[in-house]
Amino acid sequence: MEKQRDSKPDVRALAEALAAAQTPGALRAALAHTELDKLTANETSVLSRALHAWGAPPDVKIAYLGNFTLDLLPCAVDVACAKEGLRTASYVGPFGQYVQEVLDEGSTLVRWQPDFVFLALSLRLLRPDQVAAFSLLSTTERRELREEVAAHLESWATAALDRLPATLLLTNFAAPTFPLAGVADTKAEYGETELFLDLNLDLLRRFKGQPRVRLVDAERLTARFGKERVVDRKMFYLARMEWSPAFLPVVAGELVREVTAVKGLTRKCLVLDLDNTLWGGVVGEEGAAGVKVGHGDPEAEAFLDFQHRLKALQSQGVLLALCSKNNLADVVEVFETRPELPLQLADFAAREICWDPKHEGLRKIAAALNIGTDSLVFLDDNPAEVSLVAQMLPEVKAIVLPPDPAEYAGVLEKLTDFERPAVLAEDRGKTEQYRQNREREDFRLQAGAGGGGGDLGGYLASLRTELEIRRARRDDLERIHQLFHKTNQFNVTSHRYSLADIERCVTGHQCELWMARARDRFGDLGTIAVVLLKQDGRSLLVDSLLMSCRAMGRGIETALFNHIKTRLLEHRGLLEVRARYLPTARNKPVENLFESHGFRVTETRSQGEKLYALGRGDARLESCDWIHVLAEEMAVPGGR
Amino acid sequence: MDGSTVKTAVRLREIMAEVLELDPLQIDDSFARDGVPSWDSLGHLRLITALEEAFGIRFTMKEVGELDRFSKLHERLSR
Repeated sequence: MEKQRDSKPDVRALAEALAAAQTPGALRAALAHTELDKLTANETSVLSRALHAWGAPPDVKIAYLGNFTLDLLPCAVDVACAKEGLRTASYVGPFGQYVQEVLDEGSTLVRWQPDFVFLALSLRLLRPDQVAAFSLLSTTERRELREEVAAHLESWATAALDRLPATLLLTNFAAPTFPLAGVADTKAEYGETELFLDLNLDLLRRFKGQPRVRLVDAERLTARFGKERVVDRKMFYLARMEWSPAFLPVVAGELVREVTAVKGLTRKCLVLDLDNTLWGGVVGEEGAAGVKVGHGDPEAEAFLDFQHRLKALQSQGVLLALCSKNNLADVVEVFETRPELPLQLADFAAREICWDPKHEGLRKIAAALNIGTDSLVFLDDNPAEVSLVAQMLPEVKAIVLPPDPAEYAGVLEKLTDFERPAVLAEDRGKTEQYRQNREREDFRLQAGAGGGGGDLGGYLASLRTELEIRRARRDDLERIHQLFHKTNQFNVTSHRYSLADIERCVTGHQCELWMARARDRFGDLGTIAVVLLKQDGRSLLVDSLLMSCRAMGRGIETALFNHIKTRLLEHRGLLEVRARYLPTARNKPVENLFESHGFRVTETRSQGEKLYALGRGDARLESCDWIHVLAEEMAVPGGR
Repeated sequence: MDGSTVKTAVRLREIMAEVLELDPLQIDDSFARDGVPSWDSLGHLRLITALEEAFGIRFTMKEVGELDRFSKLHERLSR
């Protein structure tokens, strides 16, 4: 034990902790300080075995297919996923049979129903003759090779999408470390360099529009690790192992990002300290002009770069917030006197600048943004602050910044918590939406204080909310998928449907998938609600009913219920609407939603589950004249 | 056997037991690949990788093909 303490983690103790872990939090805590690339392949497999010790149900099922040996990859992915609190189940397809596995309706893969199918192909094993004789191929033959390979992947993906509800993770092709033609390759007519760039670009463009196919960039991953170390030639000749065991943690790390993104486990807000986090020095000591950020000084450049990266995160839909022990006036002065900085005070959706303990600040920030504290990541340069937050709010991901600001940017690169499958119009306008919400809140307080229009109805009417409810289409899939996964509070059943499930709802006949967009006097709220209705004999079943928290508290639900009731009344064959409330830790706000819209409780089950019905004769539309329900479609800002 | 080869044998037995998921007592001096289900081709690769990692050496391809029993591995690692 003694000798292991200095460099290596004690793998046996770690394995015991993992085998005993009952909750996602326990998994995360056990692996919090383990760097996966420091583990040997054998240690990784010991940990993976411990994770499967008591047959806990998996959170995610991943199938691995390819034309080279991938058998050691699942262990690395198991451990990497556990570090994020996820349990995995894996299936490695028979060697080289990735085509048969998706074409055969009865294959183990199809029957296993994975959530993700990972496909990795080695070009030299896929087209051995052409790759071996590449220098003898004509330009036409080289171009044909590119076209043929890209078409092969596309037809594989089409077949797989057709058979499986899974998300496909498709690896592209890493260019060789040394092209056969050496430095002359870049002058060749369609040399290796050009072939690989062209092939990968072709693949990227072919699959960009298909949300269920995600390209895993092998070119980038191998470069990140160091291309020369990716292949262990001996292992390649012996066992058709294109990736050395040492490279696998890098692939695993990328797969975790994909899983996090697709499963909607993205955290929502990054909370930052100020002094020595957003700028160098302490503003209370050095003054607004004295803090380091900007050009002309290496430390100031590092802080500037860090701010640029935070700004980029924000533009992808991550909310930024400030939690800093400072005098507000000093902080305001920095921002007011430095308008050239990438981050301005208005970029922070919430601010807690005072001398209270930071865990209290974080709680207030979460409350102000109407999100859970488990949606927060907190960055601070002070280890004592971080450790107190970790103790008081273990669900917050609290990270200590490294001592040198040169390394700050790297901290953001390592974070997987803000990965999302694609950046949608709603993400881009996120901070703006929260700013509008603050204006709405101020407006509400004013309306209350003003006396005259102090009633709720008057306030709601003065918001001038417009609502468009329409059937969902194919191009709405990604936003609807996002809402299914991110909505916690106003969500009656919290079903987390996959993209493929939602796709079927759009195309199928048994389902009606409705979505609602809203805007008001302060701006556009985007797509904010989803209603999934299923016909079951002579009943209409409310399978899902959910609404983004930013649209809550303005009576939009009444309009949604009117819509559901109208569907019942319009359809002569239907006798009733049935519904269900499934309690979770977060959906208390909708506990009595159905009751308050005329539904009758037909059964109460254990743990607070309730079943409801509303008969045809009892369905009455309710007045909601504070909302203008639009007959035609709204224009979509941002072009999506 | 001198002290260092005894140490090597202990270490080797430990790693083989861990990788092949066996009781170390099963791995005696005559222990061989034939008839051990967990010592299949993938098990062999994992064992080779683990031994290379633990002993900081590189086997040649030829050696990987030939090292199919405890005694041969021990002899090679003691060299």
